Amino acid sequence: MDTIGRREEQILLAISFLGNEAYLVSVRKYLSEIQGRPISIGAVHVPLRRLEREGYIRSHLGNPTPARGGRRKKIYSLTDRAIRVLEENKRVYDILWSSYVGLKS
Amino acid sequence: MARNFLYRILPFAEREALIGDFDELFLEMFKKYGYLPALLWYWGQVLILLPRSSLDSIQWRFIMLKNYLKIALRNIKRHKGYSFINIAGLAVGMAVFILIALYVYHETSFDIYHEHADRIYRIIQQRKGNMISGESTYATTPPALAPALMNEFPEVLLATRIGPLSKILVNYGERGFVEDKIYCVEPETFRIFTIPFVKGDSQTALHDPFSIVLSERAAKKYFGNDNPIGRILTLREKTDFKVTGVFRNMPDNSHFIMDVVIPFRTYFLFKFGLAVITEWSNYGSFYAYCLLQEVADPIQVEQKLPDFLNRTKYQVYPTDEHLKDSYSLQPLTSIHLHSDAQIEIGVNNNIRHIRLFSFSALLILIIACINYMNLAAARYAQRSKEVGIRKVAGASRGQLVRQFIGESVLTTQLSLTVSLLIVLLALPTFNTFIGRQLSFNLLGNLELLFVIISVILCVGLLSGVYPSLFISSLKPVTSIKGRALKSTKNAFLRNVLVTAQFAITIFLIIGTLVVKNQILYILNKDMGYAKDQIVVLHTGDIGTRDNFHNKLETIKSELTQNPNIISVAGSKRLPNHMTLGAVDILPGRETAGNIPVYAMWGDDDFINLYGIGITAGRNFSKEYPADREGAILINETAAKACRWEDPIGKTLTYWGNRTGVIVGIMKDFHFHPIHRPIEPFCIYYEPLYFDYLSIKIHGSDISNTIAYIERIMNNFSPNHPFEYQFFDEIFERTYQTEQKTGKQFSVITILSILIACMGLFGLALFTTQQRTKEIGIRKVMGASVKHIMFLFTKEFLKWILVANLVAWPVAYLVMNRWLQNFAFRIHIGWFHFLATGGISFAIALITVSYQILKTATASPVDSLRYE
Repeated sequence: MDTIGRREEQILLAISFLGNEAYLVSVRKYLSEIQGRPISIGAVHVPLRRLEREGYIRSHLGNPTPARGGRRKKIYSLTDRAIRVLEENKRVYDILWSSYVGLKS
Repeated sequence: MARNFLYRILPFAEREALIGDFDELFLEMFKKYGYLPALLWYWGQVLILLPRSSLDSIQWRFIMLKNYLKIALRNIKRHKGYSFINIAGLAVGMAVFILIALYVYHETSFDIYHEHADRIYRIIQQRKGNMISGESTYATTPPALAPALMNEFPEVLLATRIGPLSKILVNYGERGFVEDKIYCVEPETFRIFTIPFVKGDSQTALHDPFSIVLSERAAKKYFGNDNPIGRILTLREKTDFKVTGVFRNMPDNSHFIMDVVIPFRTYFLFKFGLAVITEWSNYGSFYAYCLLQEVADPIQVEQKLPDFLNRTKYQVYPTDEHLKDSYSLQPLTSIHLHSDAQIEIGVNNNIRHIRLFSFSALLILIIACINYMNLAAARYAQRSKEVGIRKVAGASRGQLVRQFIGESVLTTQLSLTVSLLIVLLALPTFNTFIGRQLSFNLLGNLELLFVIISVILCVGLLSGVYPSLFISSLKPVTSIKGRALKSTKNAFLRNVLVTAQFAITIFLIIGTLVVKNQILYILNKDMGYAKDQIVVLHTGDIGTRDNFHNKLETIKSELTQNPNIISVAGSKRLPNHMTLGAVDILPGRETAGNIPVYAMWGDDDFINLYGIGITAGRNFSKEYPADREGAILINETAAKACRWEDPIGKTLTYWGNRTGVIVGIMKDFHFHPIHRPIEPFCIYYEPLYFDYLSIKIHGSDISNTIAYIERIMNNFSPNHPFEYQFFDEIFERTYQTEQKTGKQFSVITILSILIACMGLFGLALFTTQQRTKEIGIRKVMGASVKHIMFLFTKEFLKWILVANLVAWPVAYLVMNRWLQNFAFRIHIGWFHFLATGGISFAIALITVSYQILKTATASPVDSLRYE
């Protein structure tokens, strides 16, 4: 059974959104903007490492840009496994959310 | 900078991308908040990352380390006996090593505290023409040398002469002390040597001929806490000196220590007269020190010296080429340990001693290490099961080696703590023992701290290496079964190690015996003069010379009125140490040139009081009024050296213008310390001026006799504190160094015996434990306790025998070399070796037999029981 945490799930979703520009800084920026408060580097980096180790994402080195002092980015992309897990999660969540009634009742 | 740092601590695979990320964020921060906050943020990130990244890698090691530590401590606790022997043995060895290291460090640090130490030289001379001993080196030089050097040599920046004046009575009002460390120096002294002034100005302090400068110690002695500047001190109850400066006490590691200093020009007031200051002859004892220019080459200066002397000294005193003295420069820092000159300014040590000491310290440390290795190997062998399990559980060999080395470092550390404690406790005793004031302040002496810690770490590592390599090489199957210990190779190595340490101990025992015997030989040797029941008063400075010396006859007659006083004699020196300085004597045309002859003067009672025989002619006598005009006694060696058929009646010229007639020949006696052969020597007749009063007394009622002497002497010089010594004590003090060596050697030997015994005991414990079953079976088969004892001790004694055979030749060679220092010495005989052999066997037997007896008498039922 594939288990991923909430933060990991968010990161996977961010990567899928960012596409070719998905790397540490952009992922952090994207999530921070959505959440409305900054997330620490560690909170992104550590899950990224685990995800990569567990085979949910793979990485390759992108082209160097001047903003980074000529250093290359480590760009992440989702693996089939990640997509499977995300879709499975979405299916479960959708069902759960559709029957959500809140505090009203 | 920060980026580099980051680069290092980040895991390799992600370095580039992550640093890129950080850079990008940094840039963003920079745009938003400015440079400084961004930089701070960057550094903050680095700092946050640092502990995590290092912890990650260390964490797992720590977990194992905790396990290792636990196991190590449990083992120490479980085997208390072993652990005690192990730790205590090593601790004693280390303590000895540290103490001796402190001592050696102190001795080798002499005079290096001077700012210009590497450029300061003392000028010494090799005087030729002594037919008996050939060339001899003198630390003293003519008084005219230093000023001439400064004038003539551009290389010499500064030069000074120093003239020690011994035993001068110094008074401040009522308070008076006889000063031993009083010197006449030139003002340059304070610029050459680093002797900082506390009060007054070092440049001008000695300008006035009647100024006096004190050390802090001396100032406190005379004036307490009052300001000493401007106060008046009276020397010899005659001359007033004004205090113009106080300098900081010279450190203990100085080859001479000054307490009271007066200007050089004033020297003549105390000795010889004014002319001597510009004299090119070897009168008196003056030491010349010079400070060379930074670029100057001492060898070049030395090469120019002969020519320089031709222009100066030999202009005044024309001398044959082959009899000219040769001068050389002696580096300041080598004086204390390497100088072997006569008439030294202070008491020096000998580099041989230091080497001998360092050597024995190392030996003890090695013995302790061997012990440690042996015990550790033995103990680890018992843990073969643990090793087997660890291996099965997946421990690599490297891990095991690390574990056991770690354990040995831990034990070493424990021993180090214990040894530091021992050092602290033993230091006061050690200090009185070596006659130094060492302090144990490691933090103040980082160099030493570093050396000691690294040595001890090396000890821990090295002695841990062998056992851990051995234990980790075992195969799990055999080690779990506990069979590893049968390896004979291992047993052999252990035996060799124990043999080695016993060989070292035996060597030390022989050394101690030889040193002790030599000292006994010196102290009991017939020196040619009497030593017992002679009271010696130092009168060189009682009152002012003139009014005292006129009363000599009265003092003598008053003293001899007491029936317990046999006779009284005055002399310049005492018979044990007469090297007042060689004086040239012109012996006549039969020999080529002058023969330096050691000389002193004494009165007509001197020879008789000290029981020195006359072989030809007669003693000085009041019955021959001509003796007052100049009479000389020479010793047999001098008579031989002069090559006269009959020296008696010949006239000799000495000290330039004085003449004397040889009236008799003395039997040879050891007027030098026994290190040196008997050389030509003479005594002039001088009934008035002398430095020592020797009083021969009866053995009964000594305290009353002394009280009587004190009363008489106080009548003559009430201001002078009455001090007396017994001549035999003075005599023994001459051989202080040797006695000290003897004592030090015996202590080191006892310690090494102790440590070696610990090792042997441990080994016996181990062997018997290993062979409990064998003993049990032997007993069941009918062996008696005696038989088993014999069987086991035989094995140990075999190795002790080997150790003896190894140690004997080495000890013979080394101790023979030591004995070469003495002109008169004992021979190393069979006695020394056999006695040592006996001692070592006895010690080994006692150590081993307890353990063996215990095992041998145990019931076989217990020893054979399995489980």
